[in-house]
Amino acid sequence: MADFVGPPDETIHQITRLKIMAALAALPQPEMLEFTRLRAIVQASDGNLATHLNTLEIAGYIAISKDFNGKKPRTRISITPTGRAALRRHTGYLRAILDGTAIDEPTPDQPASEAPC
Amino acid sequence: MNISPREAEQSLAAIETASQESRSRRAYRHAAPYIIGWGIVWAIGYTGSAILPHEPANIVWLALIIAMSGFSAVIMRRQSAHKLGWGRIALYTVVPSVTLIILVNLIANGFNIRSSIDIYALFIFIVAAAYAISGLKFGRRYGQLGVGLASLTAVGLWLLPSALNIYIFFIDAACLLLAGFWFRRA
Repeated sequence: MADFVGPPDETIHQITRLKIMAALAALPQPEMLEFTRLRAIVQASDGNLATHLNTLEIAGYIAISKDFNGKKPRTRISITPTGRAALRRHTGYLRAILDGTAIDEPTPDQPASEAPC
Repeated sequence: MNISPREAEQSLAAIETASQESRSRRAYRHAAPYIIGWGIVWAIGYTGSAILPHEPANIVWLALIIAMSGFSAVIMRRQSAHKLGWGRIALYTVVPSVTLIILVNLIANGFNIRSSIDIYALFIFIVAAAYAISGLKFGRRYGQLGVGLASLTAVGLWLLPSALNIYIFFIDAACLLLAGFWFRRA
């Protein structure tokens, strides 16, 4: 379990992105989720969701596939193995905070040697 | 990046809620074809029971149940991410049907229920209870479907006991079909 702990992932930690990652990680590996269904789970607007998906895709955490279902365009999203691992690490970090065992990263103005360990 | 324990707790709660919602909606989508299929089976079967003599009606029911079991097996195999073996699929389709038949017989004998109308209603009450119990694990829509089916059947049994087959055809089968389409949209 200790392998999965931190550091915190700033890309995932934003609440909408956290929900997106959790919703996708709940599905078995090859399954994809349609944009409209993901929107209903996350409860975000189209534009907001698209922006967050773009951020996650650039980070390599999700894959977006666009195709046609009959004549209707369809966007489907799946979590990548990298994204699944990142979510697991971030969740481990959040749990460690509650357990009081989290190790904070040194901030830019805090030398690494001063970081609590 | 500093995260307070309160923020961590809220984030973990958000993860749990989104995961649960995603799993429930997936379970609804997977259940939709079965619910629609059973809606069609009920519509045909109960109409058969209303208009045909006892023996031919039973044959219609048997044919419908066999057809629905075959349909369920095909859908189950298509839906399983890591293709389930046919043996396990047969187990999953046969065990619930056999359990249902045994339960109906046990309760009917235990409470001395003899009229066919009461047995039809009992069958639906058991199915409704199964949906309601499934709701505890798979999501609230199952619970709502179970309560809806039981309530509609109780109303039919109270208001139109002599025409319960036709009532089930119009109301309960329609309830299943509508619920199936509702589940499919999840």
